[in-house]
Amino acid sequence: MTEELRKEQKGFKIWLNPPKPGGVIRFLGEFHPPAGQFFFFPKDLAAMGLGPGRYSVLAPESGPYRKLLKRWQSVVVSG
Amino acid sequence: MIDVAKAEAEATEWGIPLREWMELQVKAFGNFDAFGHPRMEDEADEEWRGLVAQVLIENSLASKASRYMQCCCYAYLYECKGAEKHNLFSPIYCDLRFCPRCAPRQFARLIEKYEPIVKEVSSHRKAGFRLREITLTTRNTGTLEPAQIKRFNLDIKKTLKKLMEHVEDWGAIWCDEVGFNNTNLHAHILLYSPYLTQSQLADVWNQISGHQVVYIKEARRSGAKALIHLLKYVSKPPSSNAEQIGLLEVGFHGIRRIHALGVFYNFAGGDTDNERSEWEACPHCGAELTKLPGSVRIERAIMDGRTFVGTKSTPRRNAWVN
Repeated sequence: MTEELRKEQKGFKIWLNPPKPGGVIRFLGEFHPPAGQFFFFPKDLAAMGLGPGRYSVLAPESGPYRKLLKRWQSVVVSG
Repeated sequence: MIDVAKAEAEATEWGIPLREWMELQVKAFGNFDAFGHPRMEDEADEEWRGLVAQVLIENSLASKASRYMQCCCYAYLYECKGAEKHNLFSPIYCDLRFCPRCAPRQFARLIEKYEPIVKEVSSHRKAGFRLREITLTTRNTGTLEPAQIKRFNLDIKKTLKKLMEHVEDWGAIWCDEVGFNNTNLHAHILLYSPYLTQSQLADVWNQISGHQVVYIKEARRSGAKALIHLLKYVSKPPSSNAEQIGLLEVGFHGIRRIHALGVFYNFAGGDTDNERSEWEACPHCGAELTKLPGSVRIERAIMDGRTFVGTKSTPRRNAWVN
């Protein structure tokens, strides 16, 4: 993905899932995938400083590669 | 169960629609109990209905028992004749007098039926005429038989007609009632008439029915409020005991509970719920509706994405008795 396309794409919303049912889902914010990628790998989240855990990632509704992307992704960052 | 306020607040804060908030809950927790468990929540209600139905069956009212058990569980299916063939559903109600779901609906229908004439007479009163609230009682025999209730209603009719002999343009609406958790049969009457003393009423009531206790007072509230006060007994369950409710259904089987005489009979408004309603047409495109054969459980109809269209007229409801 070119830098221009990457900027054009809206951010991905990311939440940290609670470790146990009944816990609190924490919204972390909107992020862009690293340059050259159009989605997140676990290592990307780790590189962003996010600790181990399961994350829910919501892709933007529109943008390049939209049809290639699943709307929701679960990304697990291991410890 | 879903906490709607919390869901809405979080969805707004995160900039996502509620649909995506729900999807997130499923992602995070694997499964999400959005509406509670329908079967679990219905269990107590179904058990209670079962006890009422048992009494109905024991008194040869199996068909009513079945309706009572299945009230609001199933739905008729409809399809519109428009190009998009919208799918719709209409819940099947039992329409029994003491059903906790149907009684408030019947109350609403009765208000719609009688409110116009009561308002009319209270705003254009004849000289000397007032709305009066009357209670006529009977001795409590410990039982409630259809013959006893029929006789009671006939006695009320005779009493009112005798009292209003030679009077023109009077009217009355009454509601048969029983005491809470007992068989104390009495009637609340809204009478539009000239002045009447308590002793006149008591004498005629005693002469016709053999019962003695009566009560009369001028309705201090507006006509509409007096009507609501009278009819509220229709919407209130007269017992917390399932067997008692069953016995009341048996006692009132084939007998009206609400009666009207005089101007209230002649000029009662239409029961709009029984006539052509807006649901004759598809709520999406206005096309005519076709009823599909059979019925399904309501949750199935909802899961299939069908739209709720309220109640439809059925032959039974057209012959509806209150």
